[in-house]
Amino acid sequence: MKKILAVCSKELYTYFVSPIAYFVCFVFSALSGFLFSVILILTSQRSGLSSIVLQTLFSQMAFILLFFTPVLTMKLFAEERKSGTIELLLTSPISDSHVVLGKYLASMTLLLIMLTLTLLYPILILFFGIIDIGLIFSGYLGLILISSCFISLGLLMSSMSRNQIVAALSSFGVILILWIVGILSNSEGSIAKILSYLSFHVHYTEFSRGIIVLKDVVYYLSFTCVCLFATVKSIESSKWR
Amino acid sequence: MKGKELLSPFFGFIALICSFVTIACLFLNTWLPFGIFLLISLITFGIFIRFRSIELKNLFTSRQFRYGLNVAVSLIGIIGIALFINIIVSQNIDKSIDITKFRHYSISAQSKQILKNLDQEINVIAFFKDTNPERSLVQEQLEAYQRESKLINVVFNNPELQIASTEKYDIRIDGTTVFDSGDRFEKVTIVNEQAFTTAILKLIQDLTQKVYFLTGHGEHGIDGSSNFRYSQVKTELEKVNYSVHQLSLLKETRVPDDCDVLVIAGPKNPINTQELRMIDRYLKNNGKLLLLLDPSIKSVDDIHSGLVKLMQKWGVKIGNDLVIDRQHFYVFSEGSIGLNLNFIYHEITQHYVNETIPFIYCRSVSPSDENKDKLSVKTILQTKSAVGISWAETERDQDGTFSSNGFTPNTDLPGPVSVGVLVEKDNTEIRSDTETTPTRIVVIGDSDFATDAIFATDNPDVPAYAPFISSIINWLSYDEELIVVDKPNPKSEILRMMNDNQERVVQVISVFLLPILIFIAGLVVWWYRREGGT
Repeated sequence: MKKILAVCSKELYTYFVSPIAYFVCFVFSALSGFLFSVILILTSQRSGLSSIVLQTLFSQMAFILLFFTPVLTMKLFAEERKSGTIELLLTSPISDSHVVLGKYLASMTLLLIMLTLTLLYPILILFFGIIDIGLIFSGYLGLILISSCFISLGLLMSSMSRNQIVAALSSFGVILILWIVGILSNSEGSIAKILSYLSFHVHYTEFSRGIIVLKDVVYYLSFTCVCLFATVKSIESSKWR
Repeated sequence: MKGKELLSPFFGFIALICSFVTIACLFLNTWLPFGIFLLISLITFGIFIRFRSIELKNLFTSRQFRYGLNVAVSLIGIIGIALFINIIVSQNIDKSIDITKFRHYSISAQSKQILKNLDQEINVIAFFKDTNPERSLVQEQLEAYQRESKLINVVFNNPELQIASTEKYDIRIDGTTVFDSGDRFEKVTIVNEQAFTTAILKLIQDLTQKVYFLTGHGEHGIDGSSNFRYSQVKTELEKVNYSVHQLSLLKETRVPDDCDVLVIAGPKNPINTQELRMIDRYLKNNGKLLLLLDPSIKSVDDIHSGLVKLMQKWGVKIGNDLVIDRQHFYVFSEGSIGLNLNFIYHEITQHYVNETIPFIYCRSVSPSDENKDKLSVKTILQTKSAVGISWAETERDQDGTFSSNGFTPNTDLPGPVSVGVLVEKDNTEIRSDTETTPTRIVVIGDSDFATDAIFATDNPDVPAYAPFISSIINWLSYDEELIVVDKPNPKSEILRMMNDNQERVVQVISVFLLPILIFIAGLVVWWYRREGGT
């Protein structure tokens, strides 16, 4: 665990001494803040429910994260490969799985910081009505689980590329495909059902409405585990390729 | 040899393209092209392997291949385990928890108990157009019912497309949900767990409520052959499982105990003191009354002064006047004039808000301040026009004919004029007793609008009134509230309206405050590192 934390703190330091963390947090908070103010003002004008504001906000935030997580993960391995430091990392006395988990934890920590900033929005709603703590808990749990999938997929893509841009674009592409296959959820047929089951969006819908469904939690956790395992194998393969 | 080297990539490429097309054919269910392309893929792939046999042999025996195979097998293994867990959980352990405060997406313990004891199949047919905004909400609600009982079958029908089913259940309102147990069915026009569970309860317990129409004072009868009878209303009420009867209080000592709703539909003669006392007693004992009262046209004095006084006690002021609206009116072919009234949004009127319904010769019926603390009195019908264009005329000639001088300030009641009200007795004292529901009254200043004469008209602009009366009876009899669902009221979640300053503060805090703080933090780190910090 100490080794994982060591990699994690090193990565977090790298995030915060470079402009990348500030840039991502700045754009994410500006964008989600703008959306929140629009949703809150419009709902208040129509005498709508506070839960509608939160549900819409959670749906929008998950979609925004789809664009930001590839930026957070693109450099994690691609940069190490490009600068040649990957050899140092792989020959150091820590295992590949420790490296992968350390980097994953660092990205998740940064993402949690980003999400913590958005707790300001439910507090603002309190001035104009009551808030549903259950809905907030479920919404944030969904955001954390879906981000975990995005980050693990981004790590996998970064481990397979030397170029940061290629890593970011490929992870964005795969995430986007796995997001939009959800449009098949209303279609008939077993293939459509399988594809819609793979969709990030379909599994997230219930979280944003305050419902925690076991199969959605299992899907997100298993997806993260498979991606992290594949990342470890991808790093291992660079030793004999 | 050289030819093989040149041709092998070509065959490999063809094999790849053909396999993509084969997969596409599989998705499109086009089986002949699927077979052809599968065959071509296999042949070209075979040729490719034949041409590259030496390279492939070297590859398969290399160290890299063995390591690669090892990775591939372990990856397939972990993906297989993940798939297995997902299939098991989604197929067999489909558990979910609604952790919202208002439990928007789950059903109450009372509903679950009723569904648990269900011993007959109930088909639920939801008549919703695709564009109906409540469609998804009702779908979620009904899915929650299905999760609790396998005896609930749900079908969604578009009332414009599934004509046979629409006609079978006589659906007139988009957004109607029918609960059918085979021999009986119940229609619900609101999306609400309480109404849904009540419908199921009525089907399984075979509950029938009784509606009594008062007779003996020239009221509109429910039988007979006159065009001014209420036979269509009777038919409509029977369709929704009410038992409809006539009642003459002249022969009775009290309103019957089994009377769920008493209807007084346009009496032409006064109701005597004895009868009024019986009605008063009935209302005090949590009775339900629908009073449809026409203006007193032929005499200056109100022939229904007794009823007017009784209603005054229940917070309803019935004017001795005639309501006029010079802008929103309707002329019938025989010359009589109907008013197009405004339906104020309520459970009773929700499906008629955009309807044009002509009410013929109305009197004003408005909330009064009597017993304000114990009664909730609301207007549900009023004229559409404002002061000067609509009013309640009070000036008359000696023979009772109303003046045609137009609106007279200080004498006439200015528009918009209330024509229909509902009264609900404070229910805090009674709610603990589940057998009794508190008094409810609906008073409308016209009775002719629901007669067969209106139904008989061939004008397509005139809608059917029977469902409107049926909605009133439903509300009066607590028809959709036979059980009280223990759920918090989501209305407390409604946001307060913001003023301009509050909107600006929200925008500044959410759009600018956080990003600026992050930007400043970034600048500080950059400056610190520039100064040589680590």
